[in-house]
Amino acid sequence: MGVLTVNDLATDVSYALVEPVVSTTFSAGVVAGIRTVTPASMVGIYRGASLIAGAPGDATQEVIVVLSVTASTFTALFMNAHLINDPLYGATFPSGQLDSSLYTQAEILGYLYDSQNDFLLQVRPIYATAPLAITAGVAVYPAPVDAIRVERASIVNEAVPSAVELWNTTQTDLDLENAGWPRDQGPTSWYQDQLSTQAIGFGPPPNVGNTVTLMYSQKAATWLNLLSTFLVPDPMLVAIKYRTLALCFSKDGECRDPQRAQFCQALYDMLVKICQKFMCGIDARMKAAEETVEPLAAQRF
Amino acid sequence: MATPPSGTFGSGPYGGGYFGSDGPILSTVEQAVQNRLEETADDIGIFWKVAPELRPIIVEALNVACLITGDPQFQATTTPFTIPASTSFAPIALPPDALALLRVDSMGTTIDKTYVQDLDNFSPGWEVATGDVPQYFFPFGLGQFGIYPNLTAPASVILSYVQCPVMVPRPYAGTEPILFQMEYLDGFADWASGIARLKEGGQEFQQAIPVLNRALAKFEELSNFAYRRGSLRFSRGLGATANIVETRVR
Repeated sequence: MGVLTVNDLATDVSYALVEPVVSTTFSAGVVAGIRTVTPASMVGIYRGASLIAGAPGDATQEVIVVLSVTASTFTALFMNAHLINDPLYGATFPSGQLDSSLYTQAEILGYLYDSQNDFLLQVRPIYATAPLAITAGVAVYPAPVDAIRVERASIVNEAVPSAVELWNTTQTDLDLENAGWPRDQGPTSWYQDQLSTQAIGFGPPPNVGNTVTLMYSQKAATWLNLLSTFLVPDPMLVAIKYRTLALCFSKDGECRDPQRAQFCQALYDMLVKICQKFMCGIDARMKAAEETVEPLAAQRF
Repeated sequence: MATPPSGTFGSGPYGGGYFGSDGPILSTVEQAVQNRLEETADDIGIFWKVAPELRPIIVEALNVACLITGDPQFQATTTPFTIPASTSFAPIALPPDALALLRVDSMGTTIDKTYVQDLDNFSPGWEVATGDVPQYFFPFGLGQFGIYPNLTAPASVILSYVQCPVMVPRPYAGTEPILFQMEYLDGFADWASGIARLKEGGQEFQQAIPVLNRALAKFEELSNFAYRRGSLRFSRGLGATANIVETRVR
């Protein structure tokens, strides 16, 4: 849900860290394969850097990895052909490369990934549904890998048609209600207590195979590259930027800056509150607002 | 300074900034930001590059204002939204420019808002219920919603939603329209100029903090616009609690 890419946010972070950004063009066309090209500028390009070749929206746009460089050329594997003057850009964090880098691209992508999931955990703005096949006699299953929290489970049968909601409960409650529930025929409910991480159980255990429809709040489960988009909607990505900057400014090394790290973390915390408040105010969660948000009056820098 | 395809040269506090034919555009705020940073008002920039650096920060200001105030709100009266036919529940994606759904109107009638939890309580089996006319819509996070009952034939409805302030890919040309009232522009310039100084560090950065707080105060004040449009939608100001509907516990 959005048009901003990982590279867009990494570029914002680059400018805040006063890191050069690659923004150049092809001086000549290039065909697919391992090719040596001469860009209009070599600023920010080093061995191992990932760059974006091609214009946004072009079918041939791709992420390339620089294999070697000279003062005016670099070599990379191109999966697609590119025309003269096609853009070549990317946030490469070149300062100190290769032996004493301040930041690496993989590090920044990791910060963005972690920050997005921290934000999704705190705000839970996105929901998804997924089918889960259950088999007779098996009570416990892995939850979807992109699920933060399962919100609802039901068994839908379009052929009948029928739809039965399973009650959200705990194994302890099931024990208190009926100590023999593991031998009963089910399921009538689901639980997540006293299980391994990211698992869901059904009680009583299913007596026949079936498909359960899960509704859950969603997190990002796939690694990011420069052309990835975010699960978080564009207007909320501002929060991801400041948590990433807080991580950059707080790491050990030459660029550590506790004051700016504290500011960026405070700004992130405030933006999380604002987004939580937005979710409550707009009433966009699956259930009627069940959580409240602390007042924001104290949220100043 | 990007020159829009049509428009007028502004006057007043934003004098020198270009206005698009339908109102302010990103460049309208751009020059105010450059002035506050003591940068030459051109299309390139010296310490702050205009297209790749300042314009995204201005868009960031628009986004922060959107999240605090719930503006801009949009009712798509000229392009009805089609709800597809279905035999069981599947989330329906909102239009790409929609951040959060506020209201759904059928042709001539309103469609009330409900929640999955309420449907579970009062209409068990709702996931496979079918009918000719949509009776309720319910939120499914941002970007998606559901309809009760599932429709036997597609139906056209009017959606009202909080709109994403800018939904074009980068690089920004400067001609992107600003969908907020003029009163917001001062806050945008404050936020963008304050955030831009983050990269200076030290005293310059510290001195930008009151500017950011001033922008926040402006957005807080302007959230009254949203309050006026829907008193249950937003609390009166940032200082108020957001506990605006009763807590429901299953």
